[in-house]
Order: sequence, then C-alpha cells, then structure tokens
Amino acid sequence: MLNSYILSYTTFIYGLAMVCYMSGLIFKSKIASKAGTVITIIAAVCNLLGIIIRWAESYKLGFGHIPLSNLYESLVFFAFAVSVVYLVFEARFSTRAFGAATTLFAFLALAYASLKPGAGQEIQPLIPALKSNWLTAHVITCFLGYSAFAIAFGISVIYLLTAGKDDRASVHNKGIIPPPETLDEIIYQTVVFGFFFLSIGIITGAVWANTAWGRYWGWDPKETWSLITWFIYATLLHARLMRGWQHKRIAWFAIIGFGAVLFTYFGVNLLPGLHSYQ
Amino acid sequence: MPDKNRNNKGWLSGLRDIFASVKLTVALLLALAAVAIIGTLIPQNQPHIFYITKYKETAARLIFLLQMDNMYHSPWFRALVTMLAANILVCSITRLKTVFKIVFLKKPSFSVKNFERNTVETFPTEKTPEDLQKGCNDLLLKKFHTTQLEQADKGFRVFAERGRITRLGVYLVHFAVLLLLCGTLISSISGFEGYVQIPEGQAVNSVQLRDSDKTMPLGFAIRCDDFEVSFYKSGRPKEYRSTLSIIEDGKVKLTKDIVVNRPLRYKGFNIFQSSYGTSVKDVDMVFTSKKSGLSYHRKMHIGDTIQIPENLGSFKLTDFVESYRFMGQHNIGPSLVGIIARDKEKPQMVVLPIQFPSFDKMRRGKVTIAAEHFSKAMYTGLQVTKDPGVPVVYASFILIILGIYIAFFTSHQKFCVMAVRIDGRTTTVTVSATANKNRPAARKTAQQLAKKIKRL
Ligand code: HEM
Repeated sequence: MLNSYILSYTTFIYGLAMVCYMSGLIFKSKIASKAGTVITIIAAVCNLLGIIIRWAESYKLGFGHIPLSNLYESLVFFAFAVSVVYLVFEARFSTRAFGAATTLFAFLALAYASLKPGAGQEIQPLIPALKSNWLTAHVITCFLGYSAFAIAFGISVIYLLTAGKDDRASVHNKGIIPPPETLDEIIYQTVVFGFFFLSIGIITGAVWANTAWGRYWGWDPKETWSLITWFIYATLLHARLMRGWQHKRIAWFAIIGFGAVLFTYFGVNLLPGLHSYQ
Repeated sequence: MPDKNRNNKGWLSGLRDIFASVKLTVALLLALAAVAIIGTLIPQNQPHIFYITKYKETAARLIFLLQMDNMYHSPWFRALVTMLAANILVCSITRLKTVFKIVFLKKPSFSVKNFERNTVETFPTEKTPEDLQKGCNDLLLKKFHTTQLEQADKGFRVFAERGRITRLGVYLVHFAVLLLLCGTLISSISGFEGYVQIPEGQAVNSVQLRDSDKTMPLGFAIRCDDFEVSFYKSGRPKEYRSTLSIIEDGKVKLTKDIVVNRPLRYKGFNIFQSSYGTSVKDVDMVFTSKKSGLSYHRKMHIGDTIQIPENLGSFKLTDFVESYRFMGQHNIGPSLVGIIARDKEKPQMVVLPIQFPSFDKMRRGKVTIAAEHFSKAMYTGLQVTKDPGVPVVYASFILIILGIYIAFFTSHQKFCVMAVRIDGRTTTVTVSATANKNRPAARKTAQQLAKKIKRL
C-alpha cells in the first residue's frame, strides 16, 4: 500500500539526514549540519504524510482507525515524534550537535518497523479492547515522552564522549558541540519534557484500563515497567534539583532511564501480559 | 542534665531530618524501582506448586518467605510506600513554611541588586524619564498585577512580578501523590473485583471474587438477555456485545448493551465485558446402576446436585470444559465434569466426554454416568467491580498533571524597568528580568516589554 512505500522512503531520508549531521560533526561543517536540519524536516513531513495516508487507507479498508495500534504503527509514530521533538529542541538551543543521534533513532525505528516480521505492516482492524480514545491519548503521550528520553540519551552519550576531555581546541570551541553546561541543560530540559508526557501517558493508560477492565492499575509487566521508568526519571530530577547532581552523573542516569524505556517498550514483550503487541 | 535533653531532642529532630531529606527520596524511589523489577521477573500470584516446580527449593522458600509471589501486596513493599509517603509529607511541610512566607507576602520586596546582572536590553532614548514614567508604569500595570514604582537618582524604576503562586507547584505534585496513595488505599480496602459467567437467558445475583474463592452477593441480579460476537473477515474478533438487564426487587431496572470499553454502571458497580464462551444450558444425565442394571434419567444444570437412586450417593455437576485434556494430555473434546460422593467414601471427580458416552465405564464404579441430549448456550464473561477509590485517584491524576506542569513550565518572574537621564540629552532605559527557573521565558517577556517602551 501507498503508506508503506512512503514510509520506507522516509527511512532513507532519515538516513540521509543522519549522514549530513554526521559529516557536520566530523568535518566541522555548518553547511552539512544545516542540510541535516532541512532533510530532517522533509523526512518528518513525509513521515506524517505516511501516517495520514495510512489512516485514510484504513478507512478505505472499512475499519478505519488512527494508526497507533500495533508495533509497526507505534514505531512509525515514534520516528515522527522523535524528529519533531528534536527539531523543537534544536531551534530552542540553536545547536545541531545531537541531530545525528536523533535521526539515527528515527532511521532505526522505521527500519526495524519494516524489517521485523510480524510487526504489523499490513493494516489490521482493531480488536475490541483497543477501541478507545484513551488509547490514542495514551500512545501519543507515551511516545512523546519516549522521544524526549531518546534525545536525552543521545545527548548524554555525546556528553560523556566529549566532556572531560580538557582539550580547549576541541569540538566545543569550534561551536560544533555546545559547552558541557549547555549539554547538561539540554539533558535536563528534555528529561523534564519527557517526564511530563510520561506522567500523562501513564495516567491516560490507567484511565483506559479502568474503562476497559475495571481497574486502573493491575501490576501488569508493562504498567510496572513504565512506573519503574517514571521512578528512575523522578529520581534523576530530584537528585539534580535538590542535591545538585549534574554533568556525568545525570548523563549516566539519563542513559539508565532510557534503558528502562527500551525495556518497557520491547523487553516487556518477553514477559507475559496484556500489552505485548503480537 | 543538658546532655540528655539534647539527646532527646536530637532523636526526634534526627528522625525528622531523615524524613525531610531528598537523599531518602532517592533511595526509596530506587528501592521501589528495584522491587518492582523483581515483581516483573517472578510471575505473580501463581499457586504455590508453580514456584516449587519452577525454582530450586531454597529459591522457592525464599520467594514464599519474602512474599515475592505477591510482591506488590507484601508488607515490606507497603512499608516502602508508607515511608515514601512520610518522606513526601515531612519534606513538603518542612519546606512549605518558608515557601508560604514568599508566596503570601503582603508587599513583595524587590531588590535592585538582583536585577543588576540580569539586564536583557538597554537602549537610549531622547524622552525624559518624566515623559516615560507614566507610560512605563501603565504598561506594567496592564500586564502584571503586582508592580512597584520607585524614584531613583535622576530617574525612576518600576518593578513588576508574576507567578509567585507557581512556587507551590511542586507541593501540588507532592500533595497529589499523597492523594493518589490515599485513593489506592481506599481501593484496596473497600473495592473489589469479581468475575461471573452468565449463560444467555439466565441471571446471577453474586459474583466470584478474584484471587479468592469467596463469592460476593450484589444485592441485585444481572441477566444476560443476549450475547453476540462478531468477527472481521480475517477471523479477528470485532466486537463482543452483551445485552444486560439489572433486576432489583423483582423489577427490571435497566437494560443496556455493553461492549469492551463501554461498561454498564449501576449503584457504584461497574460491569465490564471481559470474555465469552459456550457452556451447557441443560443436560440429560443417565445414571446406570451396576448392581441392578437399571438406568435413571435426570435433567441437570451446571451447579446442580442430585441424589442418585439405589442409595448410590450424590452427584454434583460442576463444570463444562470446551476441550478437556484427560490426564493432562489427550484432548477428549467437550466434556462435563462432576463430583460423585457417597458417605464415608472419598469424593471422586468424574469426567464425562460428550463424544464418548461409555467413557465412565472405565472408572469401574458402582454407577456409570453418561451425558445424553445436551443443549449448549453462549455465556458472557463479565468483570464486576466496585471501587470507591476511583474518584480520589482520578482527582489526584488531574492534580499531578497540573502540578508537574506548574512546577516545570511556569516560574516566578520579576522584571525591572529603569530609566535614568545620564547627561542632559539622552535617557538610558534598562529592562531586566529574573526568574526562579526557566530564565529564557522571562527574558523573552522582557524583550517584548522593551519593544513596547521604545514605541511609547
Ligand atoms: C513519587 C513521588 C514524587 C514525585 C512525583 C515528585 C515530584 C516532584 C516534582 C515534579 C518536583 C518539581 C521540581 C521542580 O521544582 O522543578 C519535585 C521537587 C521536589 N521534591 Fe519531589 N516528588 C516526589 C517525592 C518527593 C519526596 C518523597 C520528597 C521528600 C524529600 C521530595 C522532595 C522534593 C523537593 C525538596 C523538591 C524541590 C522543591 C523546591 O524546588 O523547593 N519529593 N518533586
């Protein structure tokens, strides 16, 4: 179907954006980085187009629903969300240093979505439990949160790779990678953004569970893991706000937090529960 | 004895200090995360035999000892949550005292010093401070409700502030988390979760409680008038729909269709579509006595108990199983299951596969039982819950979101516009801004202010 074509081309556009951002970092070229931004915008637009067309096509098949119902569709939405959230932060902090990491995420998400057998590339009708507006709110907010955490993870890796190298002629000075203080601030702000949306995501999920099964919390592994993730980021925020933790420790925390996000998303499917997308 | 006194005081305030510390918060949150992880790795709420077969003996014993098979209800999980609650409470109260002083101040104080290093824009203008003063003051008055005008050397300063109340956002989050914990406490004390299967056309007035073998009377009856399941072409289920009637005091109070995600609510009870299947409506049972060779026919429903003639004992029809695995292996198809009991003898389970009427002969009992004519009916599986904690929990949800928004995305901002005549001809206008967090937002507002002042 048309949406799958568009989305597989989008994968390569993200790949191209990543190459541009990478070249910008390696060759310290601002033009390449700027090209990265333009291409990321194009990719995000195509990504959105793919989602909208998929939505329309599901109506043509006679069981229309917003494409957020299986692994494939959620990965496609993740790619879109991560690039949009990234573009917002790029504009806000006027730095393209973490573009390569972000477009890599979008690229991997789309590539995995198309290549993993059984991810649900063909449009499927909704099973009864998924017919709920709360589900839409739940998935969108969770993925906005995950996107921000993915970006925080990317910056943390860059931070750990570059900070501490006291080479004053290093990347920081050329204005390619912002100084550690700025990176630290971006990590903090992306985590805050993610924490806000993860909180709404968990809450809308609880409300949905209450309308579908009559209980707002059931300690299902996916629920539990999202709570674990929430605890980890809550710890990070408190440690930073109150104990003044910064820099390396926060970066490591953001990396561990993202590990929990990944496990919530993929690892939990290894455990039995209601959420595992088949 | 001053020493002892200090000790006494030290003990109490020491405890308070511990519970007011964010170090404890960090430790507790991480401990809860760790415990929750264990809870997802070890399957929860399985029968004891499950753990004994799955794990080594010592591991299984440890699991039972620490209640890791029911982790989230274990005393020590509850202790961690209680400590977190105490931590939030003590910490918030301790800090609120100082925060209240800032937030509920009658007359805010502005200090010029704070603004000195936070200049956003400076520009010269030909207007005199006297010309500007009213304009600037009005401009700030329109935008902020707290302003303060002050004469300075050769000019004036106007201060303004907003968002003082947002300093309470954090405490709103903390209060909401406590409210959430209260809500879950109410849920666990006075809520229940039950399950019931109702064949089409029949009614029930009690439900089976989850995680226990007790039944719970409802005080009214639920009748299933109709059940339908529809499928997509691919064979995936499309919709489960039950038409239910609530019957109280012999009268039908209400009739409603329910589907997944659209439950029926009645008197605080929520009735959810949960599953469906087929069961038997009624069966003709045949009991053949070995001694006399006589056969007796009886019509039975699931759950019925009858006395078998010739004093052969009682028989209870307990279950219908869609596909029964005999000895855990061979699928012998749809079967009825019952229990036969005679005084003094051990009650015995009897399996009666519909497709093999003489199956029960194998048992070599004094009576052979078989199921003849048998009519099937769809049943609807309903989850029935009552949870007075839900309104409290939902309220806490709203407050948590609101509180996090206020705590992270709003701030207490202060502005200062200063105009001084330096020499005879030009006035220098300085616009500065400070904020307790998110400075860039405050600076943006200051830039807009500067733009407007230029246009005065
Ligand atoms: C799971 C429970 C908790 C949640 C969700 C939570 C959430 C928050 C949030 C959102 C903030 C806002 C940070 C900011 O100022 O921007 C915050 C700050 C804070 N939290 Fe918590 N918190 C929790 C538990 C605790 C506990 C148990 C303590 C007790 C020590 C605590 C102490 C603090 C303090 C002292 C601040 C900073 C307040 C200030 O800025 O004056 N938190 N918390």
